[in-house]
Amino acid sequence: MSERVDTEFTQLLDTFIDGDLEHSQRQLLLARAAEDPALGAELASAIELQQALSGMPRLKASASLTRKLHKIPRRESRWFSRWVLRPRSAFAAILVMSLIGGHELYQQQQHQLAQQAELAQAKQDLALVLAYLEKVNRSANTQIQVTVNEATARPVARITTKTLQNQLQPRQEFEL
Amino acid sequence: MKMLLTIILAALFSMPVTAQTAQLESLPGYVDFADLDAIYGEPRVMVNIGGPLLKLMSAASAADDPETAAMIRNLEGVRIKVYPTGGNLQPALDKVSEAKASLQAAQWEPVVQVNDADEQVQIFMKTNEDKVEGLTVMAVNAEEAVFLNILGVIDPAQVGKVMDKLNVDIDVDTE
Repeated sequence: MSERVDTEFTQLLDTFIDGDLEHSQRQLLLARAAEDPALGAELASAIELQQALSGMPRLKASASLTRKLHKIPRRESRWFSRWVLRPRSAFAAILVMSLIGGHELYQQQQHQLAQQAELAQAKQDLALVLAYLEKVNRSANTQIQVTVNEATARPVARITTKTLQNQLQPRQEFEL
Repeated sequence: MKMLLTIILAALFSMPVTAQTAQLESLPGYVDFADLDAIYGEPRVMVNIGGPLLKLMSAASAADDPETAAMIRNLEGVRIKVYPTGGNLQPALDKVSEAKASLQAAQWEPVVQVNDADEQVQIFMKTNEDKVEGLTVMAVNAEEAVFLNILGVIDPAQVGKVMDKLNVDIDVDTE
C-alpha cells in the first residue's frame, strides 16, 4: 500500500468517524479493508470509536466560546491561495505590477526632469536679463560721470582763465 | 509641497506662450515695445518669464539663495528684447522716443536719461505710493538696441538689494 493510498484511506476513516462518509466512499473503504488487514483493523477501531462517540450526549457551546469561534478569521479562498502560490502565476503577477509601477515611476522621473530643465532654462534667462540690466546701468553710469566731469571742468576752467586774465591785466596795463 | 509644485508647474507648462504674454500685458508695469522685427530681423535675445515661473524659481532657490529668492518672489514678469542694430540706430531711436512719450503719459518717472550722439539710455520707473510696479530700460547704440521690462511690486529696499546683487552703482560722486 503506497503512501498516497494510505493518506487517502486515513482521510476516509476520519470522515467515517465524523459520520460524513458518502455511500460510495463507504463501499470503497469496506472493499479495501477486506483486502488489507491493517486497514481492516483500523476500520474496526474507527467503528468502535464512532459508536462510542454516537453514544455521547450533544452539548451546546457556551456563548463566550461561540463568540471566540466567530472571531477566528475565515481562511482565504483556496483558488486564490493556490493561484498566488503557483510560481508562474506569482512571477506573472510580480512582472505585471513591476511594469505598471515602472512605467509610473518612469513618467514621474521624466516629468521631474522636464521641470528641472525648464527651471534651469528660466534661471539662465533671468541671469541674462539681469546681466543686460547691469550692462546698461554701467554704460549709463559712465556717460553720467563723463557728463558731470565735463560740466564741472568747464566752469573751473573758465574761472581759472578769468582769474589768470585778471592777474595779467594790470601788468599788461603797466607795461603799456 | 512637491505635489503642489508639480501641480503649479504642470499648469504653467500647459499654459500657452500667448496666454503668458496676455497675462503680462494686463500688469500695470507692462510696456508695449514696438516690434522691430521688420527692421532688424529676429531679436538676438528674447526672454519672457511670467509670474508663476518666477515664483516657482523663488521657491526652488529659497534654501540655497534666500536673497535671490526674496528678490524674485514679488516679481510678476521679466521681459527683454535685444536687436542687433548694425550701425542703423535711427529706427530704434524712433521707437525709443515713441515709448518714452507713452511712458511719460502713463506717469512713469525717468530715472536715468543719457542722450549721447552715439548712445541713448532711458531708464523709467512706474511707482505707486512707495512701491515700484515696473522698471523699463531702453538702450540703443551702434551695436544693439536693448528693451527691458521688469514687472512686479517691489519696495525700494528690494530695488536696492537688486542693485547690490548686480553690483551696480548708478550714483554719481560729484565731489
